[in-house]
Parts: sequence; structure tokens; C-alpha cells
Amino acid sequence: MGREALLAARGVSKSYGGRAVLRDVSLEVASGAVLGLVGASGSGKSTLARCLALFESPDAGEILFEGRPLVARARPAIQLILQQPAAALNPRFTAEEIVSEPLEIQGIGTRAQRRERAREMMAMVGLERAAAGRRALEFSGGERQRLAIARALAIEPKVLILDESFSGLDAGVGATVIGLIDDARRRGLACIVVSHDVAMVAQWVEEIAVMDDGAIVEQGPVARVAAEPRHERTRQLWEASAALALPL
Amino acid sequence: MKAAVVLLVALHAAILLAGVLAPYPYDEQHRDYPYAPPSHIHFAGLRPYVEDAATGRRDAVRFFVHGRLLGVDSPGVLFLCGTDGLGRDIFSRLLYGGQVSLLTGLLATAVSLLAGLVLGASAGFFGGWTDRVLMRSGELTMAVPWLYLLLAVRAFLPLHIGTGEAFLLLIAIIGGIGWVRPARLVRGVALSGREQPFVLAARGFGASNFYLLRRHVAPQAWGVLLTQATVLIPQYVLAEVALSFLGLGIGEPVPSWGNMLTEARQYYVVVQHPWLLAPGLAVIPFLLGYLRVADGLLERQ
Amino acid sequence: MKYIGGRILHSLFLLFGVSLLCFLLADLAPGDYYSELRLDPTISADAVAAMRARAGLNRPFVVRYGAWAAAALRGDFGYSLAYGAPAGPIVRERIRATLLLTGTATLVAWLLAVPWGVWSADRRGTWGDAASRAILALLLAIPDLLLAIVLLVWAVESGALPAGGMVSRDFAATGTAGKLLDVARHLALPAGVLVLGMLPVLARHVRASVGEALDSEFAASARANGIPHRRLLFRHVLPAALNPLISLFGLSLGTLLSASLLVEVVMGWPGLGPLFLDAIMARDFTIVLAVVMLSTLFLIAGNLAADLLLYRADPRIRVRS
Repeated sequence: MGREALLAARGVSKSYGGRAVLRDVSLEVASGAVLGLVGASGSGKSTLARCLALFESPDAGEILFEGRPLVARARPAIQLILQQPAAALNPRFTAEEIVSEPLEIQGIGTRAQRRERAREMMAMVGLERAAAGRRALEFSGGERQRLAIARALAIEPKVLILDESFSGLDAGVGATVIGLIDDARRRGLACIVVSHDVAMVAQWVEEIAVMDDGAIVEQGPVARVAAEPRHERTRQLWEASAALALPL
Repeated sequence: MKAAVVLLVALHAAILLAGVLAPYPYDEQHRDYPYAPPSHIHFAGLRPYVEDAATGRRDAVRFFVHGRLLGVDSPGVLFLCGTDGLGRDIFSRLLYGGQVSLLTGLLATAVSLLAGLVLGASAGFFGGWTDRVLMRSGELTMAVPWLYLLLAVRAFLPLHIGTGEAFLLLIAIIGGIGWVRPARLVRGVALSGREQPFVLAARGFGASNFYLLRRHVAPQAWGVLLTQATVLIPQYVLAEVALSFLGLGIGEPVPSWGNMLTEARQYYVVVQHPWLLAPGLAVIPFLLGYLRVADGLLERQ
Repeated sequence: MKYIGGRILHSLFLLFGVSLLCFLLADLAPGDYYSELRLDPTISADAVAAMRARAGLNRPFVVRYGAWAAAALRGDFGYSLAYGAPAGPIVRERIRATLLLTGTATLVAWLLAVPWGVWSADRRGTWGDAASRAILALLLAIPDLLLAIVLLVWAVESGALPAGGMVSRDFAATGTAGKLLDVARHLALPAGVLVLGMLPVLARHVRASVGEALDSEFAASARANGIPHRRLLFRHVLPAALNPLISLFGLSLGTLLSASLLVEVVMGWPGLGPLFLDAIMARDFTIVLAVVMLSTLFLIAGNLAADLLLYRADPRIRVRS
């Protein structure tokens, strides 16, 4: 279909202390698309996610956003949500302050407008508006995950990267969040879902990329990769996540 | 510890209200009463009065006289802590002197903490040269024994200056040389702070360094600064007392606990008039209070 | 060995840095010894200028610093304008008196503080410990200045001990035993004030450090193995508690020249303190610089000693470096 790549990694390599974590990786995601990035732990998928969001810089290769090299100023347009977002929230901040922080930093709207938007976002992820004044440490792990997602969406990013972000959410909330993201995708949001659980990811994404030992070993539409996995690693991942899946 | 805090608040309030609580202005001399002993207050029923030893005359003690809490019918005198060589009421001068000494200590502490916050946060957060320069400067400052450093800096500045300038000068140099420990503590906070995930996340929203320092790092430093304050305030009050005692601080006629003690250097006089030691004693409850609060805060950690 | 060399080098840099900054500060100071002279109407401005030139105060900064530093390394601290004599011998004489005072006081304070600290750490939570902590807190809250004055007043009143000075008027005439006794009697009060000032700080530290060792896991397992308490305390716990105390001891050594300034001034003990103060008043910067540098030297040396002692005592530091 040839859509323009919104965010792309081109020939990205990175090593930590002599150990190669990313080897000449190229990946792209288009506006409105949702891409799954799967692999076992240590495959380099989280590192790639961090590079794509400019939390780390590649040793070689480049990250392109909207066709141009990604610079710090464009960072707010690319949001990364981690597996343990609890740590990514300042425990002393109230829920309201957390969700509205990106708006505050970017200077968007008045204080009253930001607070209202924060409450809206909280409602959309299923948190009570009344809880807006509570401090972050008073929320449960799953609720904090939702706050992190609400915060990332509040600024209306163009790319959203979720790194194992669904682990703390129950099915209902997970569905709500997916609904939110799908709404945003209709407005152009590109989404990358990073996970080790292939089966779960496959239910949602259009395209899937499989990583193993720092390289992308297989990539393609999810239906094809599921039916005809070409790489050994892909098969292993599928079997592993099938074993974990609970019978419905 | 709560008791200590209450005590401190009460003591500070008393000093703050010197203008009301003191029966006399700090420079009012009573030539007829040099080195007068503390007045005895007698009671006729519920009414307090003082009795003149020589004449047996009784003068009632009154409340709310001329905007002051305590006063006495003239020609009676009310010297709760006696008088000094010039006939000045020591109790009143204790209160006014306390204002000077305490305020010097508090403001100097504020200077040290502010300098420590700014320098330490910058060093810890930005690292690199800023950090190296700061650490080296800190080491140099700490290499000289504190009191000697204080006196040396004081020595290199003009000796004969007015009271107002002396006050500001003391605050500047006492506070200025004490920046190192607060800075090191804040630096520690900033060092760990800059790696915190929520700080990194905020960078992802495009936050500037100043925003991160102001909104995330500095609030984490308050606890550290508070404990430092309880340690520094008494130390700095004693510094003022020492400097003024040695003639390098606040001078006459403005009283400070330090310069009031210079009169006590005439030991033969003090033998007969021990109330001259009152300014030295006045510091003690403050030090006890701050010590208790400092210990309490340390236990909390 | 590398560690030791590194620490020594570092200390030398600190000394150099401090000397440079002090010299700079002295240079920037408005007025000097001769300015005080100018206030005397009988001395003309030209005479003052000539005196200044003769004393070499007109040369450029680097030259003066270089000359001063080179001389200082040889122990020559320049010429004191206020005393009209070389500064070195004057300062050295005073150092002897100060070290006598602080050395005695530090020794006595440590000898008292260690048993006190151990005793109270052993009895944490009891009434004895609470009383001891209250006493130490009170001692800590009493300013040295007040204590010094009170003791002097007592001395004047009771006549039991001399009220100030280091020797009596007829010192030269007495025999050796008499001389020793005389100095000791004069030493008692100033040393007493210093001891009472140092004791609470040291005792609290000893208590904290021994307490921590008593609470540690290895002490608990030793207790579980049935080691009797006394033996546990002295053979096992005390050595473990020594490490932080070593640093403190080094610091104590470091403050030998600086701890007694106020006490010396108030009680008339002829040490560095009164010398320093007089020099400040007379703006005799030669002496001021010499005293600051020597007291800094002691402090840096004390810290270095503490570092090196700790290095020898604590194998972890050796592994890390």
C-alpha cells in the first residue's frame, strides 16, 4: 500500500560494553499503523524502542522521523511507555499533575484547561475524575500504568511505543486502552507494541517484526507470519506464548 | 521532639516580640542603677509590685504600658535580669540582642542553604566541569579550619564599619563559607535525581534542564536542607556571638548576645554581679531545642 | 602504595590551593598594616608609602606570592610588621603552647569519651543511658565561651586555680617540679573547658558506632553462638566499631591547632588564638597568613592521617582502589 514511513530506524547498531545489542536494524512504521515488535528477553527490542524514542542514541545508523533525522525537539511527538511505569511517575505528584505534565512542559493551554484535559484523559482510561487530587503512590500498579498511558496520550503524540505495557492491566481495561489507541490511530497515530508474548500482540497488530539477538529475523503481515513462520525463533515464540495462553 | 519544636517556636516568638516584651529600650541608661541586681517582684494579694531597698517605697508593676507588656510606676524600676555597667536593663537587651543574634544565624543559614541548593543541584545535575570545579572549591573551603577561615575572611575586610554593614557582612561571610556541606548533600540528591525514570520521561516531553531542576529535583532536596538548617542555625548563632565578642561583629550600642558578653570579661566585676552572664545562658535553651530537633530528624531517616 | 601517593599528592594540591587563595584574599583586602598606621596623625602619608615600599609590598602579585611560598617551605613565614620581628619564631612559640593545651585536652577527652560511649551503647534504652544522653546534650548546648568565663569567675572567686595565663609571675625562679606544677595548674581550666566541649561530640559518636556494631548481624550470630557478653563487647564489637572512630580521631588530630582559639583568647592562654586575633586587629597579614596556613596544614594532615589509617584498617577500601 506504500504509506509514508512516519518513524524509521535505518541500519541502527548499538553495543553495551563490547556486547552488540542491536545489529544493523532497520524498521519503519507508517501513520495510522500498528506494528508488533516481538522477541525473547535480551533480543534487543527494548533497546530499539528506546532508540526510536531518543532515550538512547545508536552507535551507528539513524532514526528518521517524518523523513528527517530525529532531534530532541521532536521528542514530545514520540511517546514511550515502559513496563514499570510506576517508576516513571513522580510519587509526590498528584494524578492531575502527572497527566498534565507534558502539557505544562510544552506550555499548552491555561492551568485550568490543562487540569480539565487531565481529568478527561483519566476518565478515558477508566480512572475516576475525583481521584485527580490523589498522589501517585496512592494508586495501584495497574492504575499507575493507566496514568502513564493517559499522560502519553494527553499530548497527542504522533507515535506511541508500548513496551510490555499491558502486563498489569486486566482484560477490560486493556480493551479500553486499545480502543483509545485505535481512536487515535484514526487520527494518524502510529503505534509500536513491544512484547515477548506473540499471541497477545497478534490479536491486535497489523504487522509483526520478530527480533532475535539484536537483529530482525522476520517481518510481515501478522496473518502470514502466524501461518507460515519462516524463522526458527518465530516458531519458538509462538509455541511459548501458546503454552502460556489460558484456554478460553 | 515535638516538645523541642514547641519550645523553639515559643522562644523565637518571644525574641520576635522584643519590642513588646521588653520593659525598656535597649539603649536606655539608668545612671542611678549601674550593676543593679535583678528586681524582686513581691505580691500584695494578686497585685505585683517592686520595693525600693533604700526607701522602702513600693511601686506597682503594670501591664501594657506605652505599648510594652510590662512597666512599673515611676520612679520605680523593673530590672528582671539586673543592669549592666551603664545601667541598661539586661532583660530588655537580652530580647533585643536575641533578635540580632538569632536573625544573623537564621539569615546566614538561608544564605548557606540557598548557595548549597543552587551550586549542588547544578553540579549534580550537569556533571562535567561544573561538578569538578564545585568539588574542588568545596575541598579547598573545607581544608581550612572553620573558625579560622571565618576570622581570616573577616580580617581581610574593613575593620571599622557601621552596625548595619556589620550585620550584612556577618550574614554574608558566615553564610558564604558554609555552602559546602549543603551543596554536597544536594549534589547527591541531584545525581540520583537525574537518572530517575520520571525525570527521563519528562525529558521525553521536551522538558528543559531548568524545569527538571525546579519541578522534580529541588523538591527532593527540601528534606536534606531542613536537616542541615537545624544543624547550621545554632552553629551560626554561636559564630555571631564569637565574632561580636571578639569585637569583629556587631558593635555598640546595638546589643547582641556576643557583644553583651564582652562586659563579662571583667571577671572581678562578674564575681559581684553574676547576672552579667545572662547573655551566655540565653543561648542554651535554643541550642538544646535545635539539637533535639536535629536528632529527631536524623532518627526519622 | 598508589593510593597513599595519590592522597598525599592531593593533600599537597589542597595546601597549595589554599595558600594561593589566602594570599590573593590578603592582597585584595582594603588596607593593610600601614593603613592602620595612617590613622595615626603623627605619621605622614609619604612616610607610610616609603615604609610600604621598603617592606616590598609594591611588587607584582606573582613575585610576592612566589617569594612568600618559597620562604614558607623553608619555615620562614616572613616578617611581622606588628611585632617587628620574623613571624616564624613567634608563631612557633605560640604553637607549642597551643599544642600543649589541645593535646592534653584531646587526650583526656578521648580517654573519657570511649568508655562513656561504650558504656552507654551497652545500656541503650535504660535510665542510665537516658541520663547520660541528657547530660551530654546539656554539655553540647553550653557554649565554650560561657563555660570559659564561668570557670574564670569561679577561679577568681575561689582562688583555687589561676585565672588565666600559662605561668605565674615567679615562674623563672621555681625549680623544675615547681614549673611543671605551675603550668599544670594554669592548664587545668582551659583544658577543662575544651574537654567539656569535645566530650559530648566524641561520646555520641562512640555510642553510635558501638551501638551499630552491637546491632549488626555478626554480633547477633556471635551471641547466638553463646559468646559471653563482656567478651563479645571487647573482643568482637569494639574492633568493628573502630573504623568510623578512626576517621574521627584523625579529625581530632587535625583540629589540634584550631580547636582552642576562643578558649585561649578568653582565658589568656598564650597560644595561636590571641596571636591570631591581635594580628587581625593590627592587620598584620604576615601573621594572619602564617597562622591560617599552619592550622590548615594540621587539618589537611589530620584528614590525610585518617584516610591512611582507614586504608590500613579497612580492607574494603584497598580492594576498591
